Amino acid sequence: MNIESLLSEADPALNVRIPDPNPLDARMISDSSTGNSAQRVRSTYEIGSHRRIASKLNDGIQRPSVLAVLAVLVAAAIAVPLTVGHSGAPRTNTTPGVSTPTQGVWSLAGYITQPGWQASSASGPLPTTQQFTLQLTCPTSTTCYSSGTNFQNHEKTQGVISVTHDGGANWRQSLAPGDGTYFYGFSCPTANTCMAAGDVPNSNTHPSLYTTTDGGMTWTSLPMPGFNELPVFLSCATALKCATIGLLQTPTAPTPTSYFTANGGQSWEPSALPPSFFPSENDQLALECFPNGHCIAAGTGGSGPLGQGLASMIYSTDGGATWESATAPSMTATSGLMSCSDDSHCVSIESSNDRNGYQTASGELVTNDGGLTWSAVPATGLESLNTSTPMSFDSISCPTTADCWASTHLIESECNGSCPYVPDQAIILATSNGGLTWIAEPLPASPSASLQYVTDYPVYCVSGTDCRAVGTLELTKSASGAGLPMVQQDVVLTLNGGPVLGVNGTSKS
Amino acid sequence: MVTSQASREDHARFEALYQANYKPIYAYVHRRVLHSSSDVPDIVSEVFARAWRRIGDLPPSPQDRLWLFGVAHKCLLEHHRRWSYQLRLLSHLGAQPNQVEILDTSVDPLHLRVRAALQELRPFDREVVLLVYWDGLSHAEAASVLGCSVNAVALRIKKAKARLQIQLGLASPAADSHKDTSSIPITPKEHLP
Repeated sequence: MNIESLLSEADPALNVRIPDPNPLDARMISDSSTGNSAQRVRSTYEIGSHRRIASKLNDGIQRPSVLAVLAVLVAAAIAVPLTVGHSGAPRTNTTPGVSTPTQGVWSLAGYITQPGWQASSASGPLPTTQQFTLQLTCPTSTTCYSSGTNFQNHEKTQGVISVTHDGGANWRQSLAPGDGTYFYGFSCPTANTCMAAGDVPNSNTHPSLYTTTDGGMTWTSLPMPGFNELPVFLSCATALKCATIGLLQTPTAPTPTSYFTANGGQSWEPSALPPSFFPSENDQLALECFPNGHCIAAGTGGSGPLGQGLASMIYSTDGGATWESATAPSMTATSGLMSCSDDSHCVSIESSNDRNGYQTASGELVTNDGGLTWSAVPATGLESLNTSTPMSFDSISCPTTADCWASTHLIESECNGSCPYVPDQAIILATSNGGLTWIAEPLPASPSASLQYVTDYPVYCVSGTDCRAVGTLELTKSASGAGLPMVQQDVVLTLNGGPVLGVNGTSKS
Repeated sequence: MVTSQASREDHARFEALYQANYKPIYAYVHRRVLHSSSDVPDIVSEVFARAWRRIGDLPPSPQDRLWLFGVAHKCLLEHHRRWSYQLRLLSHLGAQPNQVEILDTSVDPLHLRVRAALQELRPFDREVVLLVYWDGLSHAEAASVLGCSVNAVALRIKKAKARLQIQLGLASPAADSHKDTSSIPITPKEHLP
């Protein structure tokens, strides 16, 4: 018996009789002009067995007492987030295990505000419609594009791309097709030129290549090849030359695919990937192409039933027209995060499942010859900061041959379903010696004592002194336990400072 | 806004929507409120009431089905919030909540272990697994309901399955990275505590 069968058979809905729809119930709902009375519409046979916790309350508890407690809780829920503003006195960041001081200084740059949360910032919030930011790329120190999801309500969920041209002081929504498109691959070779691969789920249509050449003012779209093919990774070395690595979506066996274009997406040609290569399964870029035709990609050597495999690195010297397997040491990996400072130097953090099934770092690979050969490095500091808490990696950015930043989070949610959800703890690690040693950098204090950073990805560094990350704030465990309403709020973090540990590298051009 | 002058087409469309999706939505809600299954009819009614109020904005079929799942997801979040408050109230006041309604005492212990293992997943991972394996949505449909990328769904599914297999004793961590577990015979007896 496999896990799929077990999951299906464990469905609790199989143990109950799901009532048939009663046309009269539908008529009662639609006959009510506002629908307000519909909440009382119930199948008749269910009414007799209906029990509510409220009836228990009425049985043995004085109603005024209940209302009083409820009023206090509601008032606290509303008042606490409002009164603890980010303009208050700075607090010391309580990130566990982050004790090593570094030269980089991270600061809070702005918020994405969401309904019910009133925090705001005068310094560059992303558009309020953008949430769940997945990708961030900054072709220059002043221009950044970010890709996320508009999740204001379920009816209008869709992908959105935002842009800033003043270093993050002002962001504006640049692209939101409005047809249910989500964005996957995302690549911006210059400040004015950016490409994104988008697809409408369930539409059985071609994915599209969206292109702007005027800094995000206008976008055009061209169909990309394949039905139900997901261009997971997109890298455009120039406005004309792009390569993709994606997946042909099937329910049980996604098939890797690859295409390249030399005319800005007017036409695409398929290319063959090495047989055992499977694209790295994450939302972050694991493919980079350069104007000289060199492309480098990280993935895994297969997709076994455990999701486990070995790190698999491939490269191309002709813009993605042909791919070759690189020489790399055997390293367990289910996904790889890769960043290249130039067409020769790349760092890849490999992750695999730990004994509890959490994705933690299994090692680090580096290349200094354009991805032809990779070697494992000790990667001191990539293990969990706290041995009892697994640490999972989310994104990496290497602006120079020496400097890299990686966003990670400590996985704190160790409960058996009976305890409250414990939020993760976001961590940013940095290296200044090409990935040999990593240290944690302190994050800024959260804007409220009731909030903590749970993620801090994607991270993107333009140079060794200029980085940005988009993170997420959620309630702390104690605040959640106190009954405050759920909060999920994106934040923009910036880093301005000298290279970590003072080791200079070659600036990324 | 639906008015009393709602068209006959609106009524017909809503009743067809109700007829086609009542059971999937009921099952979807039931799977997620096992702690208070008596609330399921109320929540399902609220889902369809919202659908009726927005009948003019509903996407065409088959997207309307996913829209309903999205509304149900939102209704459940509100329900869980209310439930959480009620539990805290009862805790403060020394009362006891209704016990979980045991609908079928003959549930296979292995299935209970699977459900317990599901509870140990991170909330987003668990929801993705439930949407795909219990609610029967495709990866793309689950992505549409949750508002994330299909790639993120595929990633979460893969991670969650790997962790479930380890928790259920179907596989070991990294050491068994290449073992094909699809044919490993297991019996409930072997895996009971």
